[in-house]
Amino acid sequence: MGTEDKSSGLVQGTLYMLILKTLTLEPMHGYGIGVRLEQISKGVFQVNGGSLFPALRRLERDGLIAGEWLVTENNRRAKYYKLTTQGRAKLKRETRNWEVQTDAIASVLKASLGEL
Amino acid sequence: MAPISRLTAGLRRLLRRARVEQEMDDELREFLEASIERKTHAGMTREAAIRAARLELGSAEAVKDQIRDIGWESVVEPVIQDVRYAFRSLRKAPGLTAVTVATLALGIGANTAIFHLVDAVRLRPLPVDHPEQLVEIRMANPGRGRTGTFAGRRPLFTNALWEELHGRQQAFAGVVAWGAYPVNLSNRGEAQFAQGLWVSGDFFSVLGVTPHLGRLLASSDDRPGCGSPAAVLGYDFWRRQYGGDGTVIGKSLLLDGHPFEIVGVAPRRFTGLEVGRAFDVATPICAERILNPEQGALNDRAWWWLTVLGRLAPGWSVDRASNHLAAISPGIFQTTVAPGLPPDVAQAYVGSTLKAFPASTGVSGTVREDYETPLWVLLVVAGAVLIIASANIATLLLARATTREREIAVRLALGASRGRLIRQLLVESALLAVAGAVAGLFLSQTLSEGLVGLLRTSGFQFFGVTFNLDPNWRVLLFGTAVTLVTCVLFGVAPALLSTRASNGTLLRATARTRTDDRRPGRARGGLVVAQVALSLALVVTALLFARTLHNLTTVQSGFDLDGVTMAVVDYQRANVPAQSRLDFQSRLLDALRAAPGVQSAATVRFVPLTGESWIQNVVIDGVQHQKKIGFNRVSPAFFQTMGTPLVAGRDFTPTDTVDSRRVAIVNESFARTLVGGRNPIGSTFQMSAAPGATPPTFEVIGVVRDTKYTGLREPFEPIAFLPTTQERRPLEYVNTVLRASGGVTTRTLTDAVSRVEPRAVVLVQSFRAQVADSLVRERLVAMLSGFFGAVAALLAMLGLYGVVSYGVTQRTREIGIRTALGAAPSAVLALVLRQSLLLTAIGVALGVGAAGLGTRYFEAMLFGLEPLDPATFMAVPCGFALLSAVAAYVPARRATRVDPLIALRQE
Repeated sequence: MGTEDKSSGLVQGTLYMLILKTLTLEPMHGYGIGVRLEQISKGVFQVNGGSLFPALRRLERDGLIAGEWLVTENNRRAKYYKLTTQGRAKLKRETRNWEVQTDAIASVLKASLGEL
Repeated sequence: MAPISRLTAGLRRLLRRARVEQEMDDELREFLEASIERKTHAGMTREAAIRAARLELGSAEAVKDQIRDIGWESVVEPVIQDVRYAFRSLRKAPGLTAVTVATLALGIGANTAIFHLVDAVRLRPLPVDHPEQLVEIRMANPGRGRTGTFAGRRPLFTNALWEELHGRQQAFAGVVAWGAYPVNLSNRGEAQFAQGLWVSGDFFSVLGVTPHLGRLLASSDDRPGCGSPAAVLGYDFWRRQYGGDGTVIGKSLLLDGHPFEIVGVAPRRFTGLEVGRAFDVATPICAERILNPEQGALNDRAWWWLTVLGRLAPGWSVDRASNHLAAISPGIFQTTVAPGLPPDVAQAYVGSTLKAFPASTGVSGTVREDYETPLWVLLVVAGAVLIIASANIATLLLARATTREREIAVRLALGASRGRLIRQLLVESALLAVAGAVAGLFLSQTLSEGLVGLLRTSGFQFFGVTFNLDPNWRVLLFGTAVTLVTCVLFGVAPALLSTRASNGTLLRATARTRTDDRRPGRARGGLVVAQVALSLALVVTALLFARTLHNLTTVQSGFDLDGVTMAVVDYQRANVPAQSRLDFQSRLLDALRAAPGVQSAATVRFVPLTGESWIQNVVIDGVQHQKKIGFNRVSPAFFQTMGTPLVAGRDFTPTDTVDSRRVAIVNESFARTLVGGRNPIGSTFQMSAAPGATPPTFEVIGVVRDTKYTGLREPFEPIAFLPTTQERRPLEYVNTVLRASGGVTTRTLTDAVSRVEPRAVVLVQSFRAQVADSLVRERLVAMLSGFFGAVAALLAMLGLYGVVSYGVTQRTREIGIRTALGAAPSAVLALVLRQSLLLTAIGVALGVGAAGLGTRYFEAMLFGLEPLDPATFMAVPCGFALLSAVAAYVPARRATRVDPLIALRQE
């Protein structure tokens, strides 16, 4: 699955999780998702179109998000993505996994010399 | 859920391609717009914002490609494009496409049709419940113990043996017995025969066959005495005879003049358990007594007429069932031994064992034995023709590839991968193959029905062969496999060869002037060699079969068959008492002789060349002769009627009666056996008899020229003819032979018989037709292999012509230079012919080798010649050399007319 986003050094697979997370609040279009990610991560993650669109397509294919053409606030048509029930469940699972993993990694990294 | 959304999204992309692409464009454009808008809001000028946004996104096409690569359809899509492209390019060459598809359709159709027959003869499981559980039960090694009278096509059981087995066995969920017999439906006048089947009461229920109409026979139908017997009609017979009338149930049916009640119709697919034969009427075994009150088979322990199949009980294997059968065999054989057998024969009988043999595909009387090998041979022949045809198609495609060389070179130069181009060419071949296969599979149904039609004989319906030709998965699988192989054969070589050249050389060179690269030429040469070799082997095969048929039709049978008609008269319904039957028969003969057009008439017990026989041991000078002798019983004037010359002594006369001394006429072979070179007239021999009985002694009164006995293929064997007039127990039917050189109609003969006895039934057939019927298999094989051989030779010669022609075109410039430098036309001719002669020589050598190795596999099918028949093996290669010289000469002539000026100016 997936290509790693080289520019921001995202761990493979995490981009999907982040996209799902940004969509929990409200449906958004592609550019909005990118901007929101950048804002929330305080500029750490800059996701360009070349990574974003394949990721969106894949999530859509797997039935985790659903796209819908709507009119934007500037009166243009854009494809808005929203989280599906499956997507919500998936996000929950992935978040739990992620926490378990980061905790484990953190405790390994924080281990004292004696523990090693 | 996810797989479904993936599937639908993929399909949407494949089917609504434009729409999906449009949405992708829209989304990217919107992304860009939003990006620009945000950047101008942040204070950039619009131009700078556009540039920055574009930079951020990267190449829009690359992004789109990345998106397109997601999903399974990205693998399928290029193939679909290839198919579209292939369609377009094939439509641009309609001639080539039509020829190729037609060739493939015929080739694949012929192969599948023959395989369909092989399937019907050998592979198709019986259309019953769980055919894999069925085993045939028969004696493990029937030797001297199995003696007596044999009736039907697979006489392996006597009724006593069957009843004992039925009562004692425990290995089977059920056992069934049946026997086939010809039965006459007509009440008077001309006989109408149908295929009757004696079946045991639980025959249908054990097999799990359900009725199409009414009910099938049950155990209650097959009981001693039989009451008023029931009959079940075969489906085809019901359609043919009753027009599929649903009200037939309960009606009465006359079998040999005895009424049977029709209780049901069998399902369409179930035609019995014997390969290649279908029953018309099934009747319970107990009813045999009704049809044959005099010579009943039910109580005759030396009358073999039944075949037995068992359904293995759950958990039983064939071996376990065989062990069980071996264990119960002594008891079964002990209680069923026939009375009056010589002690050694009785001992052999009692010591026999029964054994189980797998029978899921049914058993065969004669059809499987007769047709399996010929069908496999024909399948190999048809397969070889398809290979040759594929080679021709490959040559055609190569020629086309040559004209497309520049197109391919350009595409290679522009960066198309070789794999991509090969795939595309292969898709083109596959498309041709699929079109050919679909047409071929439809054609094969007609062809296989036509093949069965060729097997149909003019004679008794009883002897007709029928096959279930419903399409099935094995046939489809075979057709598909053949198509795949063909596709690889004709598709791969051109695809590989035409994409092999490196880009530079091809772009620079034009097809016309190239003389350096001979690779495609070499490939064509190889194909032609293979074609010549294969087709030569086929022609040799075809010629061997054709000569076999010729030998059989011209072989001396000892009879003058033209103008001989046979008529079987069944007068059972006239109730003629045994002592008056000889008298009745002679009145019948007088009536037939008096019929308009008839010159002479006689009776004969076993009609020659029909396979019927009466073989017995004889005692000469008190010593039993080691070889059995063929016997027959004929009336006066038989030899005159059949055109067999009497070489010594006299013919039978009416004065040879039951009360006078017993006489015999022998053929020359028997005369030699009997007395060596001396005059045999007046010498005697004895017919061996059961112990205790006095062996009858016969005095030889005449010698006739040798004749064939049971069939045309056998050599002349010793035969003894006894007079009908001395027959002690005449039957209630009689075979007559008539000579009417101007021909005689069935109507004339039935009228003549009716005047003597209106209740008699007559069956008439010309002797020639009877003999022709016995050669139906040889005729089929000779016809088909001859046709395939001719097609193969034609294709090979076309191939040779093509390759020489191509060579001349390729070398126009070279030939032009040679001519300009002073080469004589004869030198140019030799230059071109040398190539074709070399190809032919290699092909002929390989073909002769292949034929030499192959023909011995069907040695048994040949007659009157060896598998390595010198004449055939000389003539065919010579013929091929001549044909190929002609095929090569035409283009070679053209080469000598090359005008050096024109050839060189073309540069």
